[in-house]
Amino acid sequence: MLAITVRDLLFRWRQFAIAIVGAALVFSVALSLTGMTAGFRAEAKSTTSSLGADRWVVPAGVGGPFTSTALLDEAVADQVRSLPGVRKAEPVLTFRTSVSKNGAPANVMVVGYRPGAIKGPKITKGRALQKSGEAVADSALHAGIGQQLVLGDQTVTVVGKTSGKTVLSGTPALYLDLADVQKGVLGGRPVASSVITVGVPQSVPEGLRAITNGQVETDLLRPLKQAEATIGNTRLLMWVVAGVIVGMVTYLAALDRMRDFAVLKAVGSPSRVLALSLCVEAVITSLLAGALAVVFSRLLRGIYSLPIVITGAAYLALPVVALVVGLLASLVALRRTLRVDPALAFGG
Amino acid sequence: MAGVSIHDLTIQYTQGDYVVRPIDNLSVTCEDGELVLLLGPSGSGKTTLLSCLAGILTPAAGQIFVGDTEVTALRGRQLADFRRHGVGIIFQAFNLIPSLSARQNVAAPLRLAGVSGRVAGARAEELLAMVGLEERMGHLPNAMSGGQQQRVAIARALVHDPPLIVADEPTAHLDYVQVEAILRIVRELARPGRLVVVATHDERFTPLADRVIELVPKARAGDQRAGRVELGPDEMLFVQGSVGDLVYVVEEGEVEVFREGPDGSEHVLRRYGPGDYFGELGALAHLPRAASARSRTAAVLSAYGPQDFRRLQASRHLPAAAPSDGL
Repeated sequence: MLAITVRDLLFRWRQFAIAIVGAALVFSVALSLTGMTAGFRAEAKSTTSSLGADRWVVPAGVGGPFTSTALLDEAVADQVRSLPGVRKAEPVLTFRTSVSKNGAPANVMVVGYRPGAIKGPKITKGRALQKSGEAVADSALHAGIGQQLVLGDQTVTVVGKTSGKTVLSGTPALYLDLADVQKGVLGGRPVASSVITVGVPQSVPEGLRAITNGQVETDLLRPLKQAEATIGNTRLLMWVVAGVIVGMVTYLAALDRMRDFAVLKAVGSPSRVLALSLCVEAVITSLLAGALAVVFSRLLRGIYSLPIVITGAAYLALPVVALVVGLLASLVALRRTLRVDPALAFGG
Repeated sequence: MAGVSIHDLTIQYTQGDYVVRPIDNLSVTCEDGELVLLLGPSGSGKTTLLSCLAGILTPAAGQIFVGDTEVTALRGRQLADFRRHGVGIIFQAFNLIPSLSARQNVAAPLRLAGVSGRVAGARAEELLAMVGLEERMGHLPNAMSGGQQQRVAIARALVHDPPLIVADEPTAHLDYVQVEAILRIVRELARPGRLVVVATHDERFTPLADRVIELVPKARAGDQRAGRVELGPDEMLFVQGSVGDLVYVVEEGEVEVFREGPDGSEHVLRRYGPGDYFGELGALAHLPRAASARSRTAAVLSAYGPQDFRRLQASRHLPAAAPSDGL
């Protein structure tokens, strides 16, 4: 029966090719949406880990350093440094704001720290931050080495580039000297939004709390929850649309083949064999669409400005989803095939 | 031995809101090796009878034996086995699978029965050679003539070497050049160990046949003689499915025409009073009555043959009957 099914697919190749391309486009959008939610998590993880912290000490009641405007006195870092379990403690000031790039505003998440005191982000081009007046920018800011950026009344020059260090769905991180951020955003007040530690403090003074990198990531993802849910629902819709496309072409092919099925039934072929043929047809269509979707998703990546990370697991899950979509799609035509009357084979 | 015996076979089915009974109480026996023709007008049940012989349609009553196998008693897997191995079917419209080559079409029933591709292919080639299509084995149906397609269909019907072959109007879609080859092949199929039953309108088959079965609907008593007909209340004049030669003009009383529904209910189509007439379509076209007629009250009718009715129509300027009656 498989041979008959394959021959039928080849015989109606135009019909199936259109369905495969259509379903592949839909699959690829679904795959990109999966990559988008994975991208949110990847950017949060990458940015959080860029400073090499074991813990983030923030004011009590604050979710995390990137989403709150609550501030600490910079001197709290000295207090934290003396806590048991802490090997190093440095103030960090994070602030979501905009910088002027060639006269135009650009949204950034500024990350101020004392250069040399802690590990900075991994540099992909140029060099690391060394002193006041310098900046390391994420590639999403599209600022070249030597580019001047204005933050409040501070002008900084990009000396290095990093990548994957974005937050809140693609806002690039801009690493600066702590004092430059304090001057540029807060009028020079000696404050920080958190104190990062190397080593784990056994306890923290009253009014503070120490949170892990994981908690910081969760806090970073919190504002994206609704977007994530919407993307999830849209992705589900995409699977359904792909199922409808595959189901429709399978159904039309089944209608075309009703007399064939009647003849095969008349010569003693069991209904289940014919039903299996339809299932196989839908599954082959769906799997081919899935394979093509991998190519399409790579081509489509350029049209999205959001971070998209399509993981190996997503690629592995695709044929499974395609298989399920194909099987469900074939159900539409299955009932008709099972009920076809072999007497239909008679007549002119 | 592959004789066929049919006992008291009645086939009926529902068409919309009425019942059709194309075969009514048919009994016939055909011997092994014969070429049997089923002749009859359209609607006389030829194809329906073939469907029953092939185990595709279950009759309302009666028995069909193919050899020692009572086909009408088979169900489920046994019936599928009979269709697969006990009978080969040649269809009027060839019914080849368009995506498969001639070889693959012939091999398909074997492949579906679990036979290996190599064995099925060899058998298909052997049969295609037998019907003279050695050169066309790799061709798709749409690249072959009607006659060639029918020869492929014949090869497919033979693939399990069944003891019974049924053919439904095998020459209906062929020109006279192609018909000759098909007639010869069908004639040669009938041989000891294999019975061939052909439903056809094609009279060229008649001299080749060993047996001819004419399927003509039975006429009913009371529907035969022209002249005055007197009916008591609720008396049947003719029944649905009978052949009528007469047209009736109501002189006195009232007559109703009705169809029997699938559940045994009666659906009255129309009532006729004095001066009305009915039954002209069946009489003029020699078709089975499409409904039954019965008196509602005591009634007197005049029955006319078609020629007499035409003369009467011309002289009395009778109006045309309602076409929906179909009588």
